[in-house]
Amino acid sequence: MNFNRRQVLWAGGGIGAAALLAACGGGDNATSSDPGGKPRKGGTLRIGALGRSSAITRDPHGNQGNESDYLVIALVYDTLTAPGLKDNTVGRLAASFTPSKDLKTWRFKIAKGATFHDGTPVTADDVVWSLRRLRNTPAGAARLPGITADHITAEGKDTVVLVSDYANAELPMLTRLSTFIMKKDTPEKEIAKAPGTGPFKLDWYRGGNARLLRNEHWHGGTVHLDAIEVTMFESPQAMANAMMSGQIDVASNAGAVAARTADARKDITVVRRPNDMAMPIVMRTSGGPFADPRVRAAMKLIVDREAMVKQVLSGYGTVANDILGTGDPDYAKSIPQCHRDLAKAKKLLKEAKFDFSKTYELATTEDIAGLAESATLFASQAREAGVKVKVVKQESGTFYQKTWLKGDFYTNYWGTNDSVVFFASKTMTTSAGQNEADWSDKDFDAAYHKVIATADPKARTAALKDLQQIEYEKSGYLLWGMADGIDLAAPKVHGLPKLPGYGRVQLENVWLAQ
Amino acid sequence: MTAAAVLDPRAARRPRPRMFLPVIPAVLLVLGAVLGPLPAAHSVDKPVTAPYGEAGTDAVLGGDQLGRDVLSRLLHGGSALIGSALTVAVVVTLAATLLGCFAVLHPRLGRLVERIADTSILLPPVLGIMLLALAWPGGGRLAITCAAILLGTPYAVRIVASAAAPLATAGFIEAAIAGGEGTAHLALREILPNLRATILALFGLRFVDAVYVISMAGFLQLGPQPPEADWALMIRENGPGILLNPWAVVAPGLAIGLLAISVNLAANALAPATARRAALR
Repeated sequence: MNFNRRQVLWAGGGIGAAALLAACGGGDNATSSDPGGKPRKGGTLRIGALGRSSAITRDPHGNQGNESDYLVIALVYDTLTAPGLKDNTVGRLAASFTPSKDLKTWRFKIAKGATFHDGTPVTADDVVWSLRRLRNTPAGAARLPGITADHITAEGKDTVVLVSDYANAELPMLTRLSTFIMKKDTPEKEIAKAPGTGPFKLDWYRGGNARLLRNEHWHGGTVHLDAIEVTMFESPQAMANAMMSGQIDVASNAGAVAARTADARKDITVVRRPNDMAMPIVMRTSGGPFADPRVRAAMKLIVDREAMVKQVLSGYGTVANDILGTGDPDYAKSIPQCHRDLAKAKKLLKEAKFDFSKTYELATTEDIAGLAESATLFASQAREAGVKVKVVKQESGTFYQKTWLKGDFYTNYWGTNDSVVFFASKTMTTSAGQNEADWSDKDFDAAYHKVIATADPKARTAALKDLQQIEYEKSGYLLWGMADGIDLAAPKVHGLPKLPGYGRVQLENVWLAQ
Repeated sequence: MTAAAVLDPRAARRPRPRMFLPVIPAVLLVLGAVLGPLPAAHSVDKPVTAPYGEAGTDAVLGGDQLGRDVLSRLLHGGSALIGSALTVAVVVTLAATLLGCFAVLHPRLGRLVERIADTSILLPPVLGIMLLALAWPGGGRLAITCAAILLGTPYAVRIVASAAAPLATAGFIEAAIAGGEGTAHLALREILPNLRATILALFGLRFVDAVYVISMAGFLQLGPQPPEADWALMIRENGPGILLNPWAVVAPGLAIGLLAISVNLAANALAPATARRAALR
């Protein structure tokens, strides 16, 4: 199995766990603050999530192409850390994490009272076994960057030590990638039924659908729901229809059109999670027509960002500035917003001797709502600047095999809007595993290593600003906007997560009104 | 010639005005589709309203998935579909007529054509189109048109051949054979004129079938690609917003249905009445 982007996507974000804050004593601020009174215990939540039966997986360390599978796994198993609302990274199964002075060695302390569903306590050995198993997957290097399996060790009963090859102040954040913890020596055959440490335990799983029961002894706090029933839907439209007819209580990530359709219905709440998904256009920097930085800059000047957000996302989103990681607290708002300027774009293109007579193919998929539409609209905007762009819709499988990481010009999406450093490490540093634009820039690499080697918050923010400036000027990403995450919910559902990315899979604080 | 007298089409012809009445909708629709881009208020790819915006003053039938004017796209979208369907119908009818006429005169050719037709009729059109689309990526509308021609001809040949079979043994043909006429003369001068009703009915049916096949391919996104304004593609693209602006889906759907029905009516009306009944039986 190859490590594909989708799985990073699911994995990375998934850990958007932060609803957990509540459990970790951070208060209830990661969940929607609807006035619903006091949380009530009991009830079964019926939730719909997208997935394809051909991509079903049960392995917490495998490729979770399906959101439905990711949801089930994230409820049954805990990750070490999770993204948070105030702090970028908060603990989940790890109660705390502390670095050594040189930022190379990190100690994760396991939460007190954490037990598996069968009652046995979680030990450092379990964590070490799980992390090593994760590291030894084909995608291990990208999931635990800079940490080899030998450098994951136990210290006593409740401390796990990770040693990085280089100084890395961001290690806890980067280890949020699928660090699902299982019991030591779980046989491969029993992975699907292996007990986890999460807020829910598996009752049954059939072909993508599952029923989960409350874990009474969860280390993270009180869980309100008796059970969660996950139903897999192959298309957002089918899911929205099930929501409209009351077959499910929550439709996860239903999209803007479904939200607008639901607006007319008083019995459906629309939950918007801003800054949820990045939908960049990727331009190949190592060869082809977009290798010239002036051409890339011109494309960034050609796009009408406001129109894209308005027409493609129905206004359910915000304009972006070609820097990935808009959810980062240190996102550089001081860098001037790029606006449409056709005259300047044409001038740049002429300087770069851009071939206006050729037609450029923009590859896209229909994987998520709005993606193909964004390509179509961009093509018509480019025509106004004299650039001929032809949209080529590809089937999802073909796209990942032939275009992703290889194409000259394609649309893309990331549901993991964690931080600037996350995207830098995964998609932009030289030889990064998912370097979609095949970008290699010495200054950028230097800036990246400076950022992750800096512990002092002020110095780090300054270094991060430099990194973003380089990304803004030269990278192969044209990020025109950020789509809101949109969930539909019945009015009786309270406490839904409102964090972007995969924050939505954290349902332990959800409760149902009578 | 007695046989010619019996088949004299004039005997079955209706008064002209009534005959042309059913032709009018088809002509109007085709004219409308061909000239549509002229009265269209907006360009096909410029957003003018909110995505799936409701019908209003700036867009009479509302907006589509990107807020583009549905009416303008509807007016632009017909000519290509009608053009390819017309091409398919004409080519298939022509090919089938020629093959059919010659086949009845040459039993060996007839058997060969029949076997090939029998085999290829079994291939479902969807499968055939998908195969061709796979083998010819980027073929777009041309690939679909070719596939529709290839897949439509065998069936049409069978119809023409079976209509021509009784004629092949008719007295006037025997007389012509005795007179020393060649195969081409027999097929084109003696048999073909007597198949007018069948061929017109066939043309109508082939057109409807071509509209169906091409729209289906468009709906499966095998033919035209966005941002092209194609009726079938419009139905597909705007499905998710059907509750927000039903016109974005209903209007192109109605247009396709009306086109198929009206052209069939027209072809039907143009055929001689008695023979038409025989051909459609």
